[in-house]
Amino acid sequence: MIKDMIDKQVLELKKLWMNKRQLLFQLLNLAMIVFSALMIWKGLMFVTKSESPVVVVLSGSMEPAFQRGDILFLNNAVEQVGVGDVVVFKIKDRDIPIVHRILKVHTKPDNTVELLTKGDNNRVDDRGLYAPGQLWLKREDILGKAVGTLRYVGMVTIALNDYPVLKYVLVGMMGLFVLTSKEG
Amino acid sequence: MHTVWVRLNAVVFFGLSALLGFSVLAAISKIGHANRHVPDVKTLKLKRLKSLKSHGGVDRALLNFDLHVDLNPAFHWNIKQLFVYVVASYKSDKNKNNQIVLWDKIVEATDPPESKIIKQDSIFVKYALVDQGADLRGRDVELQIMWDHMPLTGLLYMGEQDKSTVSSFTLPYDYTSGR
Amino acid sequence: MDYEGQKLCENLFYWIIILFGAVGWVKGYIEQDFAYVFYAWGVGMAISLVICVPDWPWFNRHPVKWLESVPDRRVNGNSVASSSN
Repeated sequence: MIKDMIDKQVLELKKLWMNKRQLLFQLLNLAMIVFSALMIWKGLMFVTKSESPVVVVLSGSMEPAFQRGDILFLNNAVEQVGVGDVVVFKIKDRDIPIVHRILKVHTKPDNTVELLTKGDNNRVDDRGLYAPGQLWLKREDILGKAVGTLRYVGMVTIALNDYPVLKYVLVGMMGLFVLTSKEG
Repeated sequence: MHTVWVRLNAVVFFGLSALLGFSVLAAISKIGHANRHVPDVKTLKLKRLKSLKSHGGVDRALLNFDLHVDLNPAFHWNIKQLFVYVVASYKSDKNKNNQIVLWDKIVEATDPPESKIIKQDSIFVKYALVDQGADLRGRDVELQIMWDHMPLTGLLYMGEQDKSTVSSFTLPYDYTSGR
Repeated sequence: MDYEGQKLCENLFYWIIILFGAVGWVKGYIEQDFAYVFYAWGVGMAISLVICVPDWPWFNRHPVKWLESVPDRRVNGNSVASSSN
């Protein structure tokens, strides 16, 4: 049965290759999907002033508040971050941003802040994770404050992260469907 | 709808959209809940200062406090957990304001109602009250309890003890290790 | 699956998922527990997948009635032409 379906898809692709006008139309369709996704992402970036407005929790250090796979919506347009806020921050020379909670806030006379963070599920604060010699986080280290959450949906992202092959399979399949499916 | 793949895709996509819709509806159904139902803070005050010492150049105080709060009103069906924390705030010469979490607790929605009431005397701090410099002596410190609502779906929002009921104390003017 | 079957199938999974979810939602709201919604939705989803994804016979009760095939004139014409040559 599966082989039958694959054959069908291959046949569709061959037909598509013969019909250049249809091929062009389907390619434009695909491009439209890709670009609207990009546009939404860039729009969110603009509104939230955050370089990654939507993140997926990758570690269990904030359990049970956030499990691996939960999706977080970030807002970086807030002026102040306060004690108890869940924030996403980035440490110099580290690729992956961290989602943790603010434990200490020291506000300077010029309104700048020095922060210390800790994961709810960790035993100690985050000094050990910061860059060598770094004692405090600054406001500019913070990519955004977590303002909303969505459960379970992010599991897909975790799977994609753990098994990169899946990524190509999924993208390939989606591309195939968009190319071979006809409107209506 | 003419092949198995298209139907599978249609059912799964519609199903997920419906789940998202139900989640959003649940979030909407509880808008304004936090205005009407607030945790009932009965007591939060210093019990005893254990020590105030200079520790590697910075001041550090250890203390314990009494806490009696009923968190039940804050819970509803879209709340996964409450993150409750006690904050000490004070002013120092270097800083306009310092806010330090002394103690925290995660209360999950699945916990039985009686364990959502925290009634404990002399809770020892989880995190010491540590200054950025040597500027804790003689400072007025406010103890305030705050909580962060973690929804299943939707927006996170904070709550805090009413300012008028916040208790404060003054740290001694000299280092002590009153044991 | 014929056209009538496709229409029926689409309506079926639409209403099954909505109904199960809605009942679960109301139950969940009364009990103040979102787990009801999730499980009810899961059941609706499972039923929909079983009923609507495979090509069951009850979706094929209205086969499309094609017109009688017309004898191909072009082939006839060719043969006529070749015979006249």
